[in-house]
Amino acid sequence: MSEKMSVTMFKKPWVKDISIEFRSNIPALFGLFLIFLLFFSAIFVTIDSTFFDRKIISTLIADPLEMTPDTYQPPSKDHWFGTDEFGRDILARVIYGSQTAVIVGISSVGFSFVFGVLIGAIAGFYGGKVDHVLMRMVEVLYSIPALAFALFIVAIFGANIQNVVIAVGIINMPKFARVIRSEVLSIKEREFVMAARALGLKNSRIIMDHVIPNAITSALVVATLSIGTAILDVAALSFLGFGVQPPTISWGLMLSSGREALFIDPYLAFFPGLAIFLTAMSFNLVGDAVRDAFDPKLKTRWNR
Amino acid sequence: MRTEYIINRLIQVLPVMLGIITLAFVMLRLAPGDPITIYMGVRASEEDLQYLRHLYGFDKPIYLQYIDYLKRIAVGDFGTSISYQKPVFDIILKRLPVTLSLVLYSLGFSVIVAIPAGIYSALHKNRISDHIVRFISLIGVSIPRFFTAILLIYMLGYYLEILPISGYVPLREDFVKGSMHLILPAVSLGGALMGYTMRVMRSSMLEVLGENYIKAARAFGLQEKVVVWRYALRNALLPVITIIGLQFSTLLGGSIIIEEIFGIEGIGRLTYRALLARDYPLIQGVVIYYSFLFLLSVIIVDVLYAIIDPRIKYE
Repeated sequence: MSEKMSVTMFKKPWVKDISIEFRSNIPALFGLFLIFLLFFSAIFVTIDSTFFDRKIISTLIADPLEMTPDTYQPPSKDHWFGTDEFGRDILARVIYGSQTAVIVGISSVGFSFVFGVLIGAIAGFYGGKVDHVLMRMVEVLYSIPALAFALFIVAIFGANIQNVVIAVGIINMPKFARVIRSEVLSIKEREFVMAARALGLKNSRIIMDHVIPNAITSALVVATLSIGTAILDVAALSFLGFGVQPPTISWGLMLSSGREALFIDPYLAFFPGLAIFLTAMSFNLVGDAVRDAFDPKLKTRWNR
Repeated sequence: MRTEYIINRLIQVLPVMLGIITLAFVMLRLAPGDPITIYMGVRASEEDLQYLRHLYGFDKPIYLQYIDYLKRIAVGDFGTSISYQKPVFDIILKRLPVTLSLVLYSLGFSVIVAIPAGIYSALHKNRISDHIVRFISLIGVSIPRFFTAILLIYMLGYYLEILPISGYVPLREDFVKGSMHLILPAVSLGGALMGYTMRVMRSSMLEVLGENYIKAARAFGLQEKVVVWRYALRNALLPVITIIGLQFSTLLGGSIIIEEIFGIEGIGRLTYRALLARDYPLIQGVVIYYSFLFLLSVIIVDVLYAIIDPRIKYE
């Protein structure tokens, strides 16, 4: 009952703020459109590859995995984006790569979100020694360059999708922990937390039911902004050969093989690079708008 | 007073350093596989493997290895690299100027472009020039470094043949040639920092310009130039310095990818090689190097803060 009340109480201004922000913000709308396109493409790829064995894309464009003798073709009527070193259609591969980007990007941000929010909430709520120890640990994570740390994890524990998600999740976690912690520091002094305490609720219950739901909006803002960075990080790992491995199609891998053939066929690197760039850009645009709608104070608090 | 403060800060960051050293050690030990086997390959005899494991101390219990390791670091001995067969400290020290010159060039590039552009954009809010600056900063923030690098290599290096696309010439030997070699890597590396700095400079300038003391200065009849440069800039710079300090470690991380693309033999490339080869002593050395530079940057930011804003007291 109390949960329902708190949700309905803040849901209204929430939706209103966002719709107002987006109505006046054309770049953000453009970003939103690109994100819809990306998700649409990722869903299409998932359906196509699991139920139709790549039949749909093969009839519409070309089979992203089929090798042909037409290697290194520039863009043409048959191959809008050209072909790669094995004669595979780049457009089809860019579309297929969206699935990896979405899955890895979202799940790694999900990882940072869950652990960052928990660590931040616990540190902020308990304060004192717990806070000190947890935040020093976050600081340790923060003080190694993100890419170096992610590479370190993937290189040591093996290059596969799970490890990439965990590695990128860990390097983006400190942002969540810090933001939530500072929110919780003020929330825990509010009346409803005191009331919950006076009622004799357990600390874990207070954190999960009362503190985190009230601090979650700022974590959502950080999450939207982090998806862009996470996709860049994932692409960087793939580019260095420490990300997802072939035959999984990923933009970072495509870019990396495009780099080797740069002077033969620049398009090979150009289109996947453009896809990564546009994806990151649209999440930045939308993230900015969401942040401005939620909390204008956050405007200058740019982390990483 | 100031040196005392810096020493105090150094002492404060030591636990973080110890944490990083421990983290690196623990993670390497948790890793599956054995570095000696990877290094020697499958054809090595069991006796050789045993001998090498003993030589590098990998046969001891883990807590003893850890204590040994800490002891050696305390006296400045970072061990011997397995793949290079040289002391880790010497390898890193030799490559340090390479990476530092790359990082400083890209820091210089982003600051020199971004600060004036951010100020200009703030002073021309909502005009076309403002929109252009914001668009450029959005591109800088969103574009992957390696994509910038590839585009620049293709356009400026290959198509127009203006700038060299790979290699490194020490600045001390030939400053002009060395700088030419650093332009493309530095721009690709610093793009994101440029973008972040621009937007933070713009927004913090806008915020400061709305403050009462600025209105007072204007009401006093001071010229707009004086108001902006003498009164507003100082305060507007503080958040910019914070963001540059935070982004410094991203530059170091990005140097891994940029050095690899441009064939620069710095610490970024060394990191990549060390990870590929599972060279434990070298990996640990590199991790310490990263955290050391990061903590150094934190202290430099603190000191800069105090210089720019005299109200901040040293404690």
